[in-house]
Amino acid sequence: MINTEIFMQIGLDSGALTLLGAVAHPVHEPGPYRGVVLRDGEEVADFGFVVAEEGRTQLDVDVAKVAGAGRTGCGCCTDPSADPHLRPGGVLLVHVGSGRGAYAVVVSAGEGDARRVVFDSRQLEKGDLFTATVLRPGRYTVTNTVNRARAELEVRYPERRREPLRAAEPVQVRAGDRFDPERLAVQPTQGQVYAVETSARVVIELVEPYDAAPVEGAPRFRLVARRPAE
Amino acid sequence: MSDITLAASESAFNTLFGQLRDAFTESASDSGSFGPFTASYSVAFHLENGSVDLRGNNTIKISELDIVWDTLAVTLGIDIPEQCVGGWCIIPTPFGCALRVPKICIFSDNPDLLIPIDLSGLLRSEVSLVASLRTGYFVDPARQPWMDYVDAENAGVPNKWQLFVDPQTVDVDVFDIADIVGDLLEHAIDAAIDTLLGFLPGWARDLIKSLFGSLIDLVRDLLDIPDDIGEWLQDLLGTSLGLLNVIATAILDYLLKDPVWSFEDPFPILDAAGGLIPVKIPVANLAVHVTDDEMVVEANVGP
Amino acid sequence: MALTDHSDLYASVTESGFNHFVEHIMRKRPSLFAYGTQFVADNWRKLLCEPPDVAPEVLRHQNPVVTVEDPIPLLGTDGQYGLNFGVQVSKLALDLYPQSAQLPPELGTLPDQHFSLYAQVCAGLGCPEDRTLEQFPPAPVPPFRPVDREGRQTDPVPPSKDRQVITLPSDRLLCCCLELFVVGHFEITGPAGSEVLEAKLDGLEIVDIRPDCLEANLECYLRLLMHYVVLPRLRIAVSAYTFGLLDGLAHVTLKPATSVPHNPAVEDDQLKLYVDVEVTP
Repeated sequence: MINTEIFMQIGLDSGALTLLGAVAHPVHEPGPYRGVVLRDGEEVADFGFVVAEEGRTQLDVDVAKVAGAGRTGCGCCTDPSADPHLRPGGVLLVHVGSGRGAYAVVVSAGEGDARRVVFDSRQLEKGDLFTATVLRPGRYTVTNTVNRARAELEVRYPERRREPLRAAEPVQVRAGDRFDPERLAVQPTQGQVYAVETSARVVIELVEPYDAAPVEGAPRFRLVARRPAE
Repeated sequence: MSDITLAASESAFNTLFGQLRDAFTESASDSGSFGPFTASYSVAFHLENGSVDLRGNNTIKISELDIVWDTLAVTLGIDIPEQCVGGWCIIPTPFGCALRVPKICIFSDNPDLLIPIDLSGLLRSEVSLVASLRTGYFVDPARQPWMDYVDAENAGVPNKWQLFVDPQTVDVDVFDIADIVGDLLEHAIDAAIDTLLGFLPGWARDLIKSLFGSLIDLVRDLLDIPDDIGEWLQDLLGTSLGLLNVIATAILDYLLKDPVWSFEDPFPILDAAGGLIPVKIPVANLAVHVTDDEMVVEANVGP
Repeated sequence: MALTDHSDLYASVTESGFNHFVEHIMRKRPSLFAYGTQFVADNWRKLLCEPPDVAPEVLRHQNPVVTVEDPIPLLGTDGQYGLNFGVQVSKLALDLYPQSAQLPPELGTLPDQHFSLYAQVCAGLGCPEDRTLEQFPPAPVPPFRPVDREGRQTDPVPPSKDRQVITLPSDRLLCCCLELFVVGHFEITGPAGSEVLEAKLDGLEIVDIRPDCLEANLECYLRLLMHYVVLPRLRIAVSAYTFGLLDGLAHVTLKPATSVPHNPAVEDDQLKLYVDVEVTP
């Protein structure tokens, strides 16, 4: 079977997670936590985990799988029966393993009246990470919808070579008052890591698709001539 | 001395054999699994040319009998190796990766890539065989015990004397595969990938192909094909899939079943006419032998 | 020396093989060798001088043993009376060159490339007994009568053509057999592609018939019988002589070989045939 869904994924949004995107949030305080999964804005499932000394450094939550398990299932990671323990300082990694829905996660600590929200993927805070893998060749804009910072991203058209394409090291981008760097050029399958320094919701949108390798010397931007208003 | 003696020169026997050769056609198909790949073939072939040599040791040798492939289609089935995106390290440390993105795979369940290759016209093969001549007597199973030779003729079930080419050895020469089969395979693989991914947009197909790298190298690695693709294909068809054996067996079975010459017994010498029954002569003790120059058949007139 | 040194195909039949052929033909087509009236045909076992050995297939398929002919007319009866008869060739034996059977001096020695044929011919007339004659009066003949002034007869006799032939009955034939020798040769005749092997008569001699003029007349009749009746019905297709080898194949034509001095050849007590194969593209 060919996973056609990943080829239909154009652009990414850290606040509405889809395939090829993930958010990472470090959790420091020991104790029980509860996560609520939202899909297209509606609560569809929840999950629980515990931060304790004996926990792991990374806890992956496939929200699509959790949502498929329903409100009563644990659904952590790829194996619902896996141990949902995270060590203090470990990272909760939220990703979408399958499907076309757009997901968000709200994590609360504590129980009962002491419950408080510690993480909402719809707005990332300092220390959070947003990872993106963009496959569709083309030109994109990268926008922080919270502070309107912008960057330009180019995903190059894949070259056919004798050797198989191996993904280069992911590019690291700081998402603060502005993006640094502001111009990115990657190969398809090469990852991007946005390290959040201020509140951010990172949205990557396609501006110009590439359907063949670009010709050398061709202008990168289209010039549009407008008739002056009469 | 036998009552009747017939002889056919080598060139006459060649003509006789030619009609037997020209009536031969065979088709076959088979498949096999060879670890990382499967292979199947569908073939249809007939025979042409060939030279007949009658030999003093009572055998005939037929050389350079060409196998002409009307159809020679081979299909290779390959499990495409898993290709995934993601899985890269978000936070590398001197002690290893502290945080890693999950992997998403493009293919799952190892789908089969079917690579059809049409080798018709690119393959040459030859057969040679050494045979003796054997007589046989055929009684049609539909002939009833009460039938005389007139009844049998009217019912279309006369007895027959038959002469068979009885092969002692059948050798199928190694395939001679044209050099362009390498290019053919490369195009076939490309086309097969396009067929498999045909529903995807062009950029997605190109992306997947770039992940594979050289498709021919990929297939070579998967199938463990050496530098000489032709030789590999030769071996696959001839030995692994047993096509050489299929050819030899088909020819053998045909020669054992279909006579090179036959005639009715009793043999008609005066046709039925004006209500009168035909006059037929019974033939007994039919024997055949071969010399360097000719085939000699001897028989007696029966009672 | 190979049999096909001078042709593509070679076929030969020995003298004894040929005689076996002839035996089979006589048993399976007896009507070629026996002729008589319907009465004789209906009672051939009893009436023929030498009842032939007939193959069971002939009787099973209701083939005739005797070819029916009209009775021999009794001359002068104006077609009113006829006689039963039967004529048959009861024995045939072939001798191929070189000669091994004695020939009458009139035929000399058997020439090269020739065959001789010994035949016994039996014939018999159905001669009625005296008491039968009383039942069948002579044909009415008008007595001498005066004619009228115009020359007309006063008692006209009915025309003979309205009367059916009466075969005077007999319960046996007066059989008589004579020996006959024939010398002949073989030829290949017929259109290209449909050639046949045919025997041709060169000489015929009846043994010990007197007077000579009777012998001459009988020889004439038998010679004509052989020429017009028996030998034409014994023509064998060349393809049959070679047992159908290569016959009927697409693009293949069989033709008598022309590179041999005699074709067919009668020698070594065999009849040999040489055939070439022509393959057209």
